[in-house]
Amino acid sequence: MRRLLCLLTLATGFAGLARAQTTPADQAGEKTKQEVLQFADQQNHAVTTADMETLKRIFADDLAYTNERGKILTKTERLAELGSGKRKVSHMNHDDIQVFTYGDTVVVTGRSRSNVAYEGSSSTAPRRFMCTYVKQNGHWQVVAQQETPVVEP
Amino acid sequence: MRRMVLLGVLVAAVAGFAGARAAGGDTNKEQTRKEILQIEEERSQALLKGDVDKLKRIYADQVAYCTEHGKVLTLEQHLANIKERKQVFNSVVHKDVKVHVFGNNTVAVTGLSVSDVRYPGQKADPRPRRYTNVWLKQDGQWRCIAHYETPVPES
Repeated sequence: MRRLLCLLTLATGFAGLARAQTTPADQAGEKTKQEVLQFADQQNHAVTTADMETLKRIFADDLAYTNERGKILTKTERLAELGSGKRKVSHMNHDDIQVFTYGDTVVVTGRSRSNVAYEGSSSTAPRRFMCTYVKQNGHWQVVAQQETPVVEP
Repeated sequence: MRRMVLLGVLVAAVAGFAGARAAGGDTNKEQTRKEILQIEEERSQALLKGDVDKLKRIYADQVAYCTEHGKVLTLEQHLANIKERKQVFNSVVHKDVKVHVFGNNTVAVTGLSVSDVRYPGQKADPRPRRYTNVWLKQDGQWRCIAHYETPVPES
């Protein structure tokens, strides 16, 4: 009985150790994930406050952006829409966030119910979004972004 | 005079080096563009033929995939749909294709799909779809790490 108890304790200990062990690659991935989530927060804040100077740094010059209406915009067009108030995001509401890290390239996906006023109408209808970030010369930038309306079954 | 000539030679050499470097960068970008268009074509053919084995090699295991209905699918779910013919491609036609190259290993491709895609048992949706494919080169192989589609409303 005592032997069985010892064996059980040992097994539990090993299982705990295995769970606690993280490889350097895991740690690097986790660090990247936290960096990108923080960067995404800055991005969201800059969008809601229409902070053009920050957004200019956040978006890559060759940004590939497609909005929820299937319209493709260049960086200049995207900045113009946000700067002029043609597109106004008053409240960010994101959930189901997933982060896929591939070294200096990271894909973030999620569901947005943010309040967006665009071309005369305002909506909080759910949209799936994908945002791809690339780190170049030590700085993260948004290189691709797309939004898709969720069709309720 | 000799000093002037030397300076001139130096300036020309530096300018030539910078020009060659820029040209090298353009050549790399052009090569990347060609590779990406090739693998995009391979993906289109695999979708058309329902070649799940090929698609498995094209997509990253953790691909972020979203249909035109805003439905997020895992790689397994997407491949199962193709294999079980729950999603059938009768044609794959892409227009307005643009390739955005970022550094050495990341590329975003955008385009307009007017492919004939059917979901048997469901009403066909004839609307064109804007798509983005994000590609990453790892261990010498391009893999699709994200695919998103958005229908374009009829105007």
